[in-house]
Amino acid sequence: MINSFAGKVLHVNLSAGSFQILSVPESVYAAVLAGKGLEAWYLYRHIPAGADPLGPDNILAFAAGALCGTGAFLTGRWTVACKSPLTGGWGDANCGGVFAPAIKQCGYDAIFISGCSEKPVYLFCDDKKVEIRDAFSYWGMDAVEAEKALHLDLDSACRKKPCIACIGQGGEKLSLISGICNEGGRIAARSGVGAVMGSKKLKAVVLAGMKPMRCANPDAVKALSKELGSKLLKMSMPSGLGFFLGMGGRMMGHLPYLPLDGSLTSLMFKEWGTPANTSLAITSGDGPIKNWGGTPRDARLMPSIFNPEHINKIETAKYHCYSCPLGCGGKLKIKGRPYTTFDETHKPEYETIQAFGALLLNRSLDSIYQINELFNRAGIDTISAGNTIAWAIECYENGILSKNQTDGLELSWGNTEAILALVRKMIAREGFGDYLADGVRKASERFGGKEYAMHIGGQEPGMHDARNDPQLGIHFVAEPAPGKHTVGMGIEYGAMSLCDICSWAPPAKPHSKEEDLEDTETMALISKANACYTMLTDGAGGCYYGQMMGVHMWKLVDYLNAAEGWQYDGDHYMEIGERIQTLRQMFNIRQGFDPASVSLPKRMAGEPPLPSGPLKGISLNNQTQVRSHWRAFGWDPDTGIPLPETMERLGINALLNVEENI
Amino acid sequence: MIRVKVFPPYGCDRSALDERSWMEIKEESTVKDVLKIIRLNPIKAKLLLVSVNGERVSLSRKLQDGDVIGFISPVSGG
Repeated sequence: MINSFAGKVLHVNLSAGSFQILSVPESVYAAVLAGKGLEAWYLYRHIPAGADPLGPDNILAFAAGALCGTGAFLTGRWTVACKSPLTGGWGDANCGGVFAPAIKQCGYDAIFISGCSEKPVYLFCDDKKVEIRDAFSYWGMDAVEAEKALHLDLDSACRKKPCIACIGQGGEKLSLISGICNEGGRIAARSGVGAVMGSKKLKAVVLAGMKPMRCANPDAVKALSKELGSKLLKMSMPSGLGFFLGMGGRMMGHLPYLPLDGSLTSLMFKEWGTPANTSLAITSGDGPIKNWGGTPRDARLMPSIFNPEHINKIETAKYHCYSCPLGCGGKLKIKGRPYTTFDETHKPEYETIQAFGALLLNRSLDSIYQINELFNRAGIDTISAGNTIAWAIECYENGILSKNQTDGLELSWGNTEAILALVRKMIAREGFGDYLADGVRKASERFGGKEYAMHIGGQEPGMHDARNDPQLGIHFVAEPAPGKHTVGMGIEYGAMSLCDICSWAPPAKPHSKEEDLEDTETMALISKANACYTMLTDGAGGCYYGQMMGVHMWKLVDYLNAAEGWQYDGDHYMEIGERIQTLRQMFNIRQGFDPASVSLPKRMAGEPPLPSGPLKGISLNNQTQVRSHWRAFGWDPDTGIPLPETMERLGINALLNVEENI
Repeated sequence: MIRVKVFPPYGCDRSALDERSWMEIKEESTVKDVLKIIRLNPIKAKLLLVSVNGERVSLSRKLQDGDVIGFISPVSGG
């Protein structure tokens, strides 16, 4: 039967210098789709328990989602997965661009890389050959330089322009907060996936295949995309509204929770990209300030400084990921601006602006352009780096770190020059920067100041505050890759309208913010629904901004039925998401990662609560809510281990016995 | 009758909505008719950029079965 899956995966062993092309039985795709689901199935079975994340037994996976290449909109994401050197458990990161269809055009749903090479290499694949090639001349280059050099050397010999994912200095130097880049520094940043690639001495993966991508019912997919495209085309916003975002956030911070129309998020992303969120986040309590200990009063003027209209003024072009009609990305001309040494950079994401803006009380947007470009090129995660520098500043301010230890840097809040110097030191792994390059947990274990180290299970949290959105706090802790902010939020749940596709997903209702602090069955079912839908989206290769538009705009269930020739309802697909999440949890259990050991840092849980601002007086009930979340999933509420009856219900034991064929 | 989904802003009357925020209205109904039902001032609705399926529309826009009516909504993300 024709569906969207390539039906094959590539496994390369860099220690042996060999590869195998493996057929994946259809039952696997039916159970977990592709993307993160396929990775979870494969990595659980092939990474031995206790494997060293930076050793040859770890497997680095690159996967495209089920819908990639079918014509479905917002399905061009690629997911990297491995055992994380940052947390010791499941690790993944995801990125846009055109790398996802390139995997499928080589004839694979995923590429798995085990072993470690003795010398720098890159992997070249097209639809006819797989070659491990010498990368000596590219080693040492940043990600942008390496990509350019590879294009220069390879383009003329390929039938199509190759797509390249590579590491910069961060991955090469095994920084535990490094990621993997494509398209000039767009980065799959989280979980330390870049360090795993660096440990394998794998500089790049170069894909140049031209195989056609399949779909069961292309006309039906096209009709769905046409419907969505025509809605998006008609959306517009009066210009100049950026000024009001900070004001809107101030209101949101003090009003009860209200379900919102998700489709309108696309307006904001079309107009400003994710920087739309910065001013809102600073004033509403969503965005962390001064290492998660400050209030909007500490960040005065910042809503105006980080008004996204300033960024739009220097935007020279917008760009889109593969199969995306939205285009939230952009290129900025930064030549000649203060602090900058580059001609251009990608539009910084909200996460980067917040992590190097209000989190550090840094008021220079120009310095953030420079930091954005430096880290994009080095391939280092700005979320983790910002949290780590925030810890360093607070330690310095409190006398835990001395000037001798910081290489003479005056690490005071908002000291832009010192922050920039530290960024360069982290990239070069030089002096004090060498310690920071492995993230805040390692740094605080060495120097102390653990009370200022904001990490969850080893990973630094995304720039959204759980005290503002307790639903997010559940995912920060319960997620098998803890600290990620993309699995679910209360406000997004209201926007997605999952109750319209899933019989057990509670309807989002207006309620007071205090209600979100309670441990209720509704709260647990909402967090379960959030996680299941996000895993389903990841299996499909979908974009989280598609998710946020809501199920009436981005019709994931209809897309999957059309692309695969299936006739399933939303409940069936949510069960696929549940299966993927349970597999990831099982991965952690097998690797000895104890879910019950993960908790929010006290400050993030509101212990003690903030004395003023929109988060005034809030203390979370996080540990109890996490246990209810596990119970809703059918996992042991005390240990987080999936119960035997849950494994049976989801058919996971049988699935793990399915073998791929050579 | 047709069914439309509505995300009313603060202070509106939600009594005509079911728990999933859907309401039944007569065929040929307009956005303005819905505003009357949820008791939202049309001027306020315009200020809040009233939209149907994400498209900014006039209040005389006729609604179709399955339409989603929303108002400007900052949703965090990034």
